[in-house]
Amino acid sequence: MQYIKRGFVICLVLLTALFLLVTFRNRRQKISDFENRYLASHPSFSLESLLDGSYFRGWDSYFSDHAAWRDDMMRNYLWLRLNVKKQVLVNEVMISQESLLPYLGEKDFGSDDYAGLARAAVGRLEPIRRLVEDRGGRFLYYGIEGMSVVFREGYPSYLHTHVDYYENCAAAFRAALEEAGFSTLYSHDVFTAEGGSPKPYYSRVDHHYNFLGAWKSYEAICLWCREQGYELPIVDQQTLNIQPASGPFYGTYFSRLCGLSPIQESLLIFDTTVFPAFERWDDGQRTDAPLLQLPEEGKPIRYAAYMGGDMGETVIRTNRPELPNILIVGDSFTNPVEALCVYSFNEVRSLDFRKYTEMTLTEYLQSYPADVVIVMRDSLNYVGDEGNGNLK
Amino acid sequence: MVFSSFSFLIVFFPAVCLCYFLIPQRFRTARNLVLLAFSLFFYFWGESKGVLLMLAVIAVSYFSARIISRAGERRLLRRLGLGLELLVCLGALVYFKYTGLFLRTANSLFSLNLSVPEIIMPIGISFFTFQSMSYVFDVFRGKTEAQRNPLYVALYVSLFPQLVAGPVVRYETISAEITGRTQSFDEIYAGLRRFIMGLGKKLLLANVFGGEAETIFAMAGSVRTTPTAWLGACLYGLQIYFDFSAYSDMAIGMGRMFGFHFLENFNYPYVSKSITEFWRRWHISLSSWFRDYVYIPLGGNRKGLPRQILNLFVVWGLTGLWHGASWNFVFWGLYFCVLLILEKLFLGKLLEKLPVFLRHFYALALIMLGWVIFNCTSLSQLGAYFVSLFRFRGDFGYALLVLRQNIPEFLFGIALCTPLPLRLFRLGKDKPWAELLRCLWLLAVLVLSVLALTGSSFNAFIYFRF
Repeated sequence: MQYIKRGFVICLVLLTALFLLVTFRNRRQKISDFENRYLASHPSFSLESLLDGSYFRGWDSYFSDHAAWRDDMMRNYLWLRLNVKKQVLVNEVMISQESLLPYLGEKDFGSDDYAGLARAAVGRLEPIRRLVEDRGGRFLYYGIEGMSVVFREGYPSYLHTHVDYYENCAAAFRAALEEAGFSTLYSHDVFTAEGGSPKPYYSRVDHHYNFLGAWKSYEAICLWCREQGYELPIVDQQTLNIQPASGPFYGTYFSRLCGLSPIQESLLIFDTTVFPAFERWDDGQRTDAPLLQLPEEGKPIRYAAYMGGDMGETVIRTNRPELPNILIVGDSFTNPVEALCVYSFNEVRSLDFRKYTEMTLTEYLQSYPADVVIVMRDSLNYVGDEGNGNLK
Repeated sequence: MVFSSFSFLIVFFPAVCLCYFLIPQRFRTARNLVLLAFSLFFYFWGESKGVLLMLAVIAVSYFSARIISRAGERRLLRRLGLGLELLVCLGALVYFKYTGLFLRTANSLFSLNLSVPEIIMPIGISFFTFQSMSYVFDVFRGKTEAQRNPLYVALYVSLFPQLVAGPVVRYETISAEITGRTQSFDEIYAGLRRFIMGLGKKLLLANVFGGEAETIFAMAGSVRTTPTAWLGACLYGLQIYFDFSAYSDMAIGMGRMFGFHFLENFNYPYVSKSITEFWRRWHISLSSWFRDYVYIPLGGNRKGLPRQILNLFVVWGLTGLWHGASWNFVFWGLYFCVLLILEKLFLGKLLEKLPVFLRHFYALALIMLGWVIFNCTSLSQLGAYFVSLFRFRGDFGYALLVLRQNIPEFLFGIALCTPLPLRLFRLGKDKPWAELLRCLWLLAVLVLSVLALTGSSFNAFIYFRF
């Protein structure tokens, strides 16, 4: 029996040594694709960091992030959860038949005064609209139905999806916008205008709409602009040559499942050569970044491929003064629409107040009056008062 | 540094083992010095400034014990030595752990406006001060000799396996082993086995239960249904047991690898049939510390019932306060105190007449309610949780999801609360096939633990800050 015990101990020693060796050789990996973040780097030594404990905490993070075969182990662990434990909720992602869904949690939203919340949200938009229109521009609110609302039947019946809350808020918000006389468009109406379901316009592994949904939204916005008297070209789907990208699409929920999702999808990409030449500034810095930023062949593609992801401020000039200027305010839903607007507008500006802090929207509009101002929000955030829900 | 971290598992622990076992067994002093150096470094890693405090406590304990030992029959000098130890250890504990609590309480009770300083509590202060005090108490009472070598006192107090989360090891338990332990391969193997089982309990059970319990306790009262609330209490009960007993397992296992035999800290507490029995089985090292160094010196049960009840209140109030600088811990201690007194007075005899399953149910239900008090750090949170527990709002949705998500953990967890798995583990004790199966089982536990460690970032020991 002794030889079994000795064998076990020797086996452990060798495994530990191998693990340590591979861990120390693992220094080259800087980014975790699954987690979409930078891995911890070597902590830098200083007396201060040693005494305040951050030096050793840095090593803890470093070893945790660079442990041997980390990605494989994360995948294997997740595989066990999905296939052996048969979990339906993994890393905050609910796996349903037709899509991956966010777990919305057992939340208490506090107030059920939907009308009050909606009036407050519209009240925050009112001065912005007035300022735009006083200066001769046009203001449009574009509401996007949340992905989890579109695929809500995928949630098991025993879980709270908070659909009531979101639907009541959305209905109250629409009513309040209408009552205040806002010009509005809603993705649900746009996507279902020709009958059918809005689902084909949404990603099933990411919380955004897909590029078809973005194009439909862009088209509706351009048509609305034409109704307002602006002459502008609209690029159609055939010209854009929309097609699936070759690499795997790491949507928000797909990457949380370390690529082991039973549902897979490709990101839809488009032909950027049909767009006019332009100059671009991101957060005040001149850049040559294209409208579509694809990784190397075979590498994971993310929604951030559109416009290169979220920026505080993006300015794109096409030097076609005969066309109107547009300012788009909103979260990441705006990214592919911004790209498409480059085709139709002289100047495209976008602001994301989750990141942009230099000026308020009022100050910005006073400095850069646009012909068309569009606020785009998803229905889960209609009445929210943070980031782009708190425009001043 | 926690035991269930890559820093510990692949760097620190292999480094200690390498340095320790490369030194031949006959060079005991050198081996002790290696352990001491690594123990201090272990503490320095997590608490770079606190290491000075720990060294100060060690120095004072060493000199106090020496003063007491050399005082002979001179009672004043002996008391001076003891007083010095108590002043420093209790002073440090009160200052670092309870200043904020006392000042905030004084402010709210007497409408004062005293400023509350931001004092960072050194990790493990409750453990190393209690161990130091027990050493000096034992020298004072003549139960053990004062150690002449200050490095050995330092090793006793700072020995890394039990430094930050116990068990509270008595000096008399390991004093002989510091200077004269013998080590064998079988002991190393047994220690390693215990360590792996502890690691598995922590990473595969405690963390899973902890994640779910944390979500339920963080829910707003309005959405936490009665089944969810009870499930949350049970999950927290499982978490704290597997978390703490895992840490004790790892400490005992590592101690054994280095030739030290710490006493058991848990003895299947959830199979108890009464609260009295539960406290004989739960955190044994702390309960016996309070019994031997507080309850008995106060008179125990030797001075009549009223005095005994008073003594119990003092001991359980202090036990509660030891667990954390918040009044909910005191309530938790007093809650158990009341139950223990009731069992002593009449409930115990009544319970004996009940069927066994009812006695188990009684004990478990009250223990789980106790954990709710333990885990709710404010009165408002506690009130909201108790409303969830008893308002009988029956929506099983979330509770079913949690159960469905964690079926293997629940099965293993419940089984491991009983002695049955250990009996299974010991089947065919001396047979090679049984040993081979045990090794494969341990390997599987280790591999799954490493996978879980990689896959999960929820990795804080509950007892780390005590």
